[in-house]
Amino acid sequence: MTRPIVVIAEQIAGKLRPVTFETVAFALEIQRLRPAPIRIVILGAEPERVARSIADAAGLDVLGIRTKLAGYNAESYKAVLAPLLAELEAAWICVAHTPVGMDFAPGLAFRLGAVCITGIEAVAADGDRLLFTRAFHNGKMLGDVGSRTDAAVLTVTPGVFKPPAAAVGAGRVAIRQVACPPVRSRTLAVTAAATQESELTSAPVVVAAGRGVDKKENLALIFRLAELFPRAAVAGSRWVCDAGWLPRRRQVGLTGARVAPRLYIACGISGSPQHLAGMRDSVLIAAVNRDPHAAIFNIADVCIVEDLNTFIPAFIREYRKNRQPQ
Amino acid sequence: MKMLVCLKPIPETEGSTDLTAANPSFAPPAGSPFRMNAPDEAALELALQLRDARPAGRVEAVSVGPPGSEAVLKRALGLGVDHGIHILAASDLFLNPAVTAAWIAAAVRNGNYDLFLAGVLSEDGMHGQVGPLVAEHLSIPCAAGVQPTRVEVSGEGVRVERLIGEGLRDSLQLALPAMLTVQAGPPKLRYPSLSNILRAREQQLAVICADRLAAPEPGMAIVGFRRPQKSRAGLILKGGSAEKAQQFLKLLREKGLLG
Repeated sequence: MTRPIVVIAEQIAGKLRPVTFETVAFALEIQRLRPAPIRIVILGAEPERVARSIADAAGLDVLGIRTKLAGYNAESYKAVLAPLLAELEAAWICVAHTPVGMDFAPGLAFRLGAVCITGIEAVAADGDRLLFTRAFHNGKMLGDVGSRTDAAVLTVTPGVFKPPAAAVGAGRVAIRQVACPPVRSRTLAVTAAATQESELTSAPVVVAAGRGVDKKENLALIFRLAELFPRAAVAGSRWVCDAGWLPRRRQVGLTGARVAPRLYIACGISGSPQHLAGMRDSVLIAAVNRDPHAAIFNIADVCIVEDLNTFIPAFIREYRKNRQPQ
Repeated sequence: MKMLVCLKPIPETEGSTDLTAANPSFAPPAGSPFRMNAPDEAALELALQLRDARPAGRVEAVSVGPPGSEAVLKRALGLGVDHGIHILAASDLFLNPAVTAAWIAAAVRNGNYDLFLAGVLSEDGMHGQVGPLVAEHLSIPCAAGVQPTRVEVSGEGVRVERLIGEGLRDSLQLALPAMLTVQAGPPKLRYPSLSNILRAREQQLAVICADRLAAPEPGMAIVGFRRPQKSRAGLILKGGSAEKAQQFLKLLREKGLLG
């Protein structure tokens, strides 16, 4: 039998995360290049219902692992999944490149004697092997990476592979009971870091600030630029929110909100894959950055190689000068 | 409490135009300077703050890299790190996370550390694996991507918080010894003090040749590097800042995005 492609479903606090279907899309891409059965694996105390919903939505077979697990735990995931995946003889193990996925994927690979290739954005066949494309140097370079091991754990960048269209038929669900060994870490709570900013996700224009603003005071420029538009929201990169310069609810990216406005102006944002995951579907992307090699320019429609602290005042001046009479 | 911080030396070629297919191996040109990986700076500052808050704390640092990269460890000593371990790796294998992790684990296994810290990923390789893999070698729990401002050590272990997406934060408790990988960002790494600089000058690094340490065959084969294709029009505005501002304004008005 051909060794299967396995997708590990992502859940937080017992809820399936939609990013799982992007990981499924990636698995289907591997399947197209290397025909093999796909199995989706989901862990939980009562996995039946979620397993059924995935099988219906994806039209693929799901293996629900019933185990004593209150929520996500890296040690439990690794301890339960490693022997199971070895038994299934999984060739390609697909995990979302999210904070949760990246928490257990390298350790899982270690226990399987497999390579771990993280942050995958594309896959292609090259003769006998598959090559996975991933970012290096904050996205300024791409590298094509192959595997020399029998199995590979692959983490898939969110926002790149689009979830497949509705499935034609439903997949089968199998449930298996697996003991969960004792662990030395436990989740105390999962809380809202911020209420989801509806203003951010519904605004037609988002003006976003990155590390390139240099100082908190310079954020005033970002707000002044946003004020020129009838309905614009100000957002920030993770760094800017970590610094406390903007509240967490304004963060765009992998650990923040995903937005797709009509216009996204990235100011002083380098364009790490984590940030791009949150805004790459925007209709028009303009980027202001003093580094001509910044990765943000690779996904921008309009590239402005300037220091934002020079450019934004110049832009506001031009706007006022040329203001068309109402 | 005894802590170990993993510090990756990053060749100072990042962002320069010579980082192209002409230099596909990512091997830094001989003699190029090294700087400290930014998320590792956050891990180091966290370790120093945790040490300073308790009477009997010790911070050691380990680094894997070619000759010259020990500058990163020297800087760490100047910032107050008590001891530095340089795993000297002549080849560019030091860029493979599985090999790097195996070397670090082999070198520090008997160090009796309570807490291991590393950056969540490196700015050049971006694999995000060395910390979690060192934890596997040492059979200790690991939490990846914690916020450095939200780490508390108590008698029961270490309590951390991290952002897990969709506006959620999880807080978890790990028994010690444990590995934490830390997000880049505030607090900023401190400046060196004169007394530490003087002490660092006297201090020797422990140097271990990587070829004396066990490591797996690298399972990852990097076939080549290239510049990303532009996925969109990528219209580059020309001229001075005023000209660029005019063009941008015109474009936004044509698209009806600005009045």
